[in-house]
Amino acid sequence: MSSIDGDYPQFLYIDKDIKEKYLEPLIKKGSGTCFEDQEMGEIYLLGAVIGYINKLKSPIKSGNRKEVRTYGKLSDDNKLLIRCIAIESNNYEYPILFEGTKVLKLLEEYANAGIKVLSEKIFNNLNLSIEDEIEEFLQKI
Amino acid sequence: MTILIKRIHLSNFKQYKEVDIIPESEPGIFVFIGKNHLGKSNFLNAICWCLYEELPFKESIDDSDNDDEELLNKDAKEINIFNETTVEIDIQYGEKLYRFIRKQRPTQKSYLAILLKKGEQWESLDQSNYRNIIESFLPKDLREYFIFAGENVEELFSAGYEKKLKSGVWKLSHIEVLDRAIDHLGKISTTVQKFASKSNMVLFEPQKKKDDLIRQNEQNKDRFKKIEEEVVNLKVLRKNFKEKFETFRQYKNLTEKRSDLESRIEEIDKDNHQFKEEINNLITSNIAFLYLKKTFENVKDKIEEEQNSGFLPPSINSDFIEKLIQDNTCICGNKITKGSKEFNNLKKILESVEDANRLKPILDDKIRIVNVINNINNFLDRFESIRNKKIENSSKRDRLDRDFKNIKEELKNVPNGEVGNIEDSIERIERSIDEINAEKARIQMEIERDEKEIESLNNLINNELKKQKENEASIKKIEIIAESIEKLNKVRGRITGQIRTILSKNIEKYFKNLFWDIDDYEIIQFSDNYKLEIRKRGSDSNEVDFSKGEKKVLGLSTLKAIAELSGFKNVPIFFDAPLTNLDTEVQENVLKMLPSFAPDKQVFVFNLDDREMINFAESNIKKNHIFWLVKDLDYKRSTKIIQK
Repeated sequence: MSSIDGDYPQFLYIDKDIKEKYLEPLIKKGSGTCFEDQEMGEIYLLGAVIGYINKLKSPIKSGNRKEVRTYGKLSDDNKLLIRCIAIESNNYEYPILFEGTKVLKLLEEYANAGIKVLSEKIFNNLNLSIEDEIEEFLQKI
Repeated sequence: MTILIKRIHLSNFKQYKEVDIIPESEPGIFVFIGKNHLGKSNFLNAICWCLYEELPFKESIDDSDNDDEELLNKDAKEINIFNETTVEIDIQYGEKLYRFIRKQRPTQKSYLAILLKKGEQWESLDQSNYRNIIESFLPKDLREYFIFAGENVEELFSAGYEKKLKSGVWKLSHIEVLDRAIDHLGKISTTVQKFASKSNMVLFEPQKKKDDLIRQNEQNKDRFKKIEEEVVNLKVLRKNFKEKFETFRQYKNLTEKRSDLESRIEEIDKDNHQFKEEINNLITSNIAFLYLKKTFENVKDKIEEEQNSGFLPPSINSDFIEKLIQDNTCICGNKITKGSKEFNNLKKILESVEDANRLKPILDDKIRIVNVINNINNFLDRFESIRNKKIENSSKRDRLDRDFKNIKEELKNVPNGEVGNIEDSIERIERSIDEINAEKARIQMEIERDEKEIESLNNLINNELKKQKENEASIKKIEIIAESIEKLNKVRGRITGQIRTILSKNIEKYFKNLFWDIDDYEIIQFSDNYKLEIRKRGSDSNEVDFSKGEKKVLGLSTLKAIAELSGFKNVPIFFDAPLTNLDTEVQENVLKMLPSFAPDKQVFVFNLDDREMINFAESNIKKNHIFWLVKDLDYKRSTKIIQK
């Protein structure tokens, strides 16, 4: 497998503003959200998934890139998740997997958009039950 | 009190076979006249034997037929040697009539019975009183002053007579009663002194202790009373609380139910909380994968598609294609040239195979995707299960909430903890009552103990006070006794003096009356010791050497004088042979004096049948007062007594 992502960039990035304004408050201790005290990389990936499933992308502004997580430290399942997003969003053209920069850039754009959605949803409704959300989601699928 | 002989009955006694004398029941002279040996002296012996079991008088020496040792009448003995001897005397003493009966059979001891007449019956008296009865009116010691033999009268002044005379006179005058009284008072005084001196206890300590105890007891009683009130109040309070408790008891069940519901709800909430945490944990670690579940499935499907199409993994070995290109050989084995269509096709195939080879790891991804999908499905199952439990809990909780609300509604007017408070209060009251009752019992015990001690102290003090009072009274008594003894002694002195004086005067009077030469004596008197002091006229000495006849006259005078004494005044006199051994002149004087010898009592005179006495009797004595002792014609050795 290393042969597929061997050339992938070292870090995952996010827009500095998104990170500071949306991501960090979500996980900050005492935030009162359901993600309080969670690992930032995990929420970053959730944001990317939310962006992806909602078809929302937001490129990182030039000069505003901020590291979120070292790619190599992600779990195999998380790496698989990234690859699956890349494959599906590239119309199942597998070779994209050999273009690590593209794959992670795609992820960054989804995350940038998704984190904002997630944060707004959470902070707009602090009583939001993630459980109900899941339930709702399950109903949809 | 007059003493009268009412009857004398002799049976088988000495000369008397059967004699029954019933003298007139009044004071006066009774004369018994008989020849020698007919039993005059034994008649007196019969009286002494009956009363005192003694035979002081001797019969004439020549009376050979009558042995002094033998009581039983000869004639009776002749009939039956075991015949019984009997003497009966009826004596009236005041209102009482006594019968003295003494009996004896030969070789046996005599025995006495004293009967008292009650109505028509004679009743036996207690033997232990016999001596007292006799001594009370016919004392044995004084016998010789009222039963005497004229022949022995002079012996009244034999050696040592003073003491005997003094004692006799004092007994007759009841001086001994005074002496006994004085002695008795002296003994009482000694006894009283003995007890009086024992009581000297200091009462300060017991009194103080008693006062302290009374004070303490009063305090205890106050406390006891207060406790009783307290107990009553507490009981009222308890009753109120119990009534209240009854009212609230139904709420207690509800309260308990409420508590149960609360705890069950709490348990459900706890479960729910746990579920929530578990779900949160599940969600946060799986949400991204869950959201991407469709993508994973799509990718997996696509990869399978690729597999099914044979693209993955590549069915042709790239090394083999490379060798064909290198050898310019077609797959079918024909030679081909570079740049030819077949050659270019081989090159394209090689590129495709190389691409496929590079993508081979995607097949591993498929396996991972399957695992991830499985994990997602597991998560969903778990999620569903927890959700179901939550739903179940939720409906359960709704029910509990409803019940809880209903109970809450019912209990809305009941302050929280009221029932518990009431129970606590009742328990506290019960405890208080128990404690107070224990305290009450303790105080009660203390009160009882103190009261006992107070009572015992009271007894001690009262006894001691009584003793002290008695002591005071005793001292007073001792003083009074001493005073009384002194007075009695004075009285005694006066009485004995008077008696001695009267006796002296009477002796002098009767002596001079009886004596033939009156003027020969100037002093006839008794000294303090009852020594007779007689001084002849013209003599310096009080010692007079009397003849036998003079002594007898002196004796008669003394007896007459003694008979005048009040204590002896009414005792009958038995006088045997008053004229024996007297000169004719004195005999005349004695006979002259006899009617007035003792006018207040019965005087029984026993004398020989000489002319002087017969003349005197017939001239001066009532006929029924004269008794004649004569030979019994039926029993040749016996005497009978008759009245002419």
